[in-house]
Amino acid sequence: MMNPSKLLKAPIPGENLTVNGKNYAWHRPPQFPEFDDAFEFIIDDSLANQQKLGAAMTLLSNGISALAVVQALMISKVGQGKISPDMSLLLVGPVYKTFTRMMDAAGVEYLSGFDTTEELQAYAEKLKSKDFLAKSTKAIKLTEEQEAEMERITEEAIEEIPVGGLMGAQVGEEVEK
Amino acid sequence: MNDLYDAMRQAVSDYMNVDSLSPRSQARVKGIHSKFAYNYDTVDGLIKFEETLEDIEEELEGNDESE
Repeated sequence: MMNPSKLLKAPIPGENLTVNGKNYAWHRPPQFPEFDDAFEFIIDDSLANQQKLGAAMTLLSNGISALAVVQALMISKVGQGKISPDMSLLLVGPVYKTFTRMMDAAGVEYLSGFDTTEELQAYAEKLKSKDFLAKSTKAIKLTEEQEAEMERITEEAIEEIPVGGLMGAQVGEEVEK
Repeated sequence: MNDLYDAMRQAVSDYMNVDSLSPRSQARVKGIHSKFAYNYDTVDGLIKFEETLEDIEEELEGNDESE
């Protein structure tokens, strides 16, 4: 049952015109009114941020479409007062393109947001079969030079600390003396 | 368009499939972004991964053989 006191507290028509118009970040002028500045900000803040990109990749590999991720990103920036809603419409295309290219390069399989029913079904089956994990667990193949370099670095790391001499590390007994 | 989400969806669709639009719509989509430094072609060339890992491996193998 609805609380009758809430009904009485409902906003009266036109109340929105009487409240302070600068209560929220999106009520104030945006921080990045220029397209190029705003695009650079989105790239630096979100797409070049390893932590955020990792989170986005997790979302994509769990069936959230790239379009939904980019839409959420844009709405959050509008909500933070970084860009205006009109600017988000200008930015969403270039950001989507850059984002999907990055995901393609990373080998993440994702839904674009414009998928057909058949594509959705195929993706759902792939999620069920967990085939999408096979790609990410593939071992990285190193060249001979890289392997030799890795061995050299490992040997250096486990090499014993030189003892004795003027500059050598002190051994337990010497320290006691 | 009902809300900002629909408008964004349409904007992405137009931007990504610009070649399939009518010439007038193409000019509109490309024309809007042509005023900025990050225009259509610049964004297109921002991330290019023409070389895949397989290509690089093939290249390395080719170098080893030539040596």
